[in-house]
Amino acid sequence: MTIKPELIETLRKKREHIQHNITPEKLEALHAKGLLSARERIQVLFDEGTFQELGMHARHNAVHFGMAGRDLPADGVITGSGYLGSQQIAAYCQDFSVLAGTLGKMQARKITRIMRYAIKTGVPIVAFKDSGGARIQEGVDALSGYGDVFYANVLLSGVVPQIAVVCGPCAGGAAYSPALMDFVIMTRNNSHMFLTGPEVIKAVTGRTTTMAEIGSAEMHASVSGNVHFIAEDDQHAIGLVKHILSYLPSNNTEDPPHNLSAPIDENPDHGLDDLIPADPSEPLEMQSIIRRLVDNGELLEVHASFARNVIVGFARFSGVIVGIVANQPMVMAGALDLDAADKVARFVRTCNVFNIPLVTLVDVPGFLPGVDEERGGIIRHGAKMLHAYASCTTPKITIILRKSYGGSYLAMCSQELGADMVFAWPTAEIAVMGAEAAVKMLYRKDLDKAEDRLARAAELAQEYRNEFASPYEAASNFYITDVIEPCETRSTISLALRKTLGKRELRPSKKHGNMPM
Amino acid sequence: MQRLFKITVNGTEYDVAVDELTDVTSQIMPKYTAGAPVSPISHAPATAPAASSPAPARAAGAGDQCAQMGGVVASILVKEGQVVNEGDKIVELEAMKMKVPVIASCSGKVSRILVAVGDGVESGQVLVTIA
Repeated sequence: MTIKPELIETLRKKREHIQHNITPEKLEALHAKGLLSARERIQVLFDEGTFQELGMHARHNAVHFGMAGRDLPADGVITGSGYLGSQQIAAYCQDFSVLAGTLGKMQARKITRIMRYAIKTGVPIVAFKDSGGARIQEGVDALSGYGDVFYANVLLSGVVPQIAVVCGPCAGGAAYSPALMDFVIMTRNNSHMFLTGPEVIKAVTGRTTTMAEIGSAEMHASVSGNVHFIAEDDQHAIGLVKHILSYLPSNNTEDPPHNLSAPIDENPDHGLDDLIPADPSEPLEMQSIIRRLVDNGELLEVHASFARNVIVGFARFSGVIVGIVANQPMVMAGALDLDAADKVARFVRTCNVFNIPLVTLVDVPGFLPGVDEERGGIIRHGAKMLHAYASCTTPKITIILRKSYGGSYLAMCSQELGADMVFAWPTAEIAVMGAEAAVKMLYRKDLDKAEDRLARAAELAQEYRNEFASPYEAASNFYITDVIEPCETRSTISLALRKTLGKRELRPSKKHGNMPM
Repeated sequence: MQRLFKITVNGTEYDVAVDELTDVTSQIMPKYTAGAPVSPISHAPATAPAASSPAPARAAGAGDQCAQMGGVVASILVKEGQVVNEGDKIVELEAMKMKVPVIASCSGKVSRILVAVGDGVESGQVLVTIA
């Protein structure tokens, strides 16, 4: 007794039909634009032969507007899981070649199914967004589908890493799904993302605009901050996904993939001294400092084009994976503003949920003074930084390179905000405010009496600077762990990280803190 | 608000009712004034634009090199007519007791320098244009 051959034949035909739903000519046209087909994206993402598809034969149930019996392979989305080395990853990819990848109830069910699989098995999920939006023919079912996806995004948030790759249109409500995920990658030329398009904006507000102005990758990466990474094409985007995942654990109960067998680098690095300007008002180039400190000079910068006055990203110190937060004095003097505060707060929370230690490199003149800043809510935004740092329970190591003044001293993870170790360079200036401003307040009477007010002010400022604008005032009050030579920085951080990796900190139980938004 | 006027034209009297659109004008007027004269300020003395305009009136064009934050012009490192490369430091501002470099965003010839050393500038203000 053997199986009837026609049964096998039918299955093979069905599979063939679903898997090869795109003609070679169309495929070539996609490739010419730097695009891959949905199946190719999945194929490139996973190690060969490890992908298992969920719901290949799923079909929509829509009947209105000519949808009855309409053949939509896999209902416009490929879902499943596979391996990247030893790490399992779940993924779904919307298929633009199937009714423009539009989302109806069945597509949403498939997507939420794979998301729930990811949370059950504790594996990251990668979502390729390439869809014309809601499948209008399905009416409120399509809307409901989006709601289901958002809800699942929120369930997964803080449990497993969620990475969105926007590699086509992502318009209307659909745009909220990437926004709810941990990292958003957008391809430079083939994608756009917005809530309301140029036509609607024109009709409602009368303003003429372009797709690029409101929804390009470039704009989202540098202005709105909705996007963390820009990819040149689909292949590059998938490369970025793998790169990001190499720094993340599979879920919130695991540690990131540290290489603890790497030896702790104990060598002093005197080359660092050359990167520190002698004049304290001359800005230091933080990118080159970071690349000098971390393993192989490798920093995966997150939000690289957004709020460039701060730098955040992933790197390793003698094998230990860290999130780096650093001021960039070359941009806006490194002052903290609205966007910088949001960028740091978001990154610190991302590191906290995935158990990634934080290394904070401080050279900050203060929060940016200004009418727009105050009216824009710098208090509310700056408070996000304080909240994020203080709630973060992973190892926190802070290095004060040069300036660290007032509120920004606290906001850059001072000891008070829970830093486990704070090291300062001899060039550090840690004070409640700058020397000139402090002198004006502290020596008002003295200055009023002085014959040459300016000369006296300068003299007092220098005295103040000598006395207080150094690391030793803070060190003698035990607000810092130690003052170190710049050449010792890499070895000091490496050692401190190894020692604090086992850190456990218990907090009062609560639903969640009420972070200012 | 409606106001009534009596107007005499060539000896004939007319009663005229006029609707005053207070809200709309206050919204629209600044937009028009700001948007209208965008033609370049022909070789004005370098100090003029910085001191007068409270906010950058025109949108930055491709070759416009803008201040990334408010501050005082500490030094200008290029001359009109000079050829610069993308990435060159062209102006140095001072803000928050720090030197803030303004880096050329494109290569080309410096067509105009709109500020002078000592000028206070606002965030987004055009300092130098490169053509």
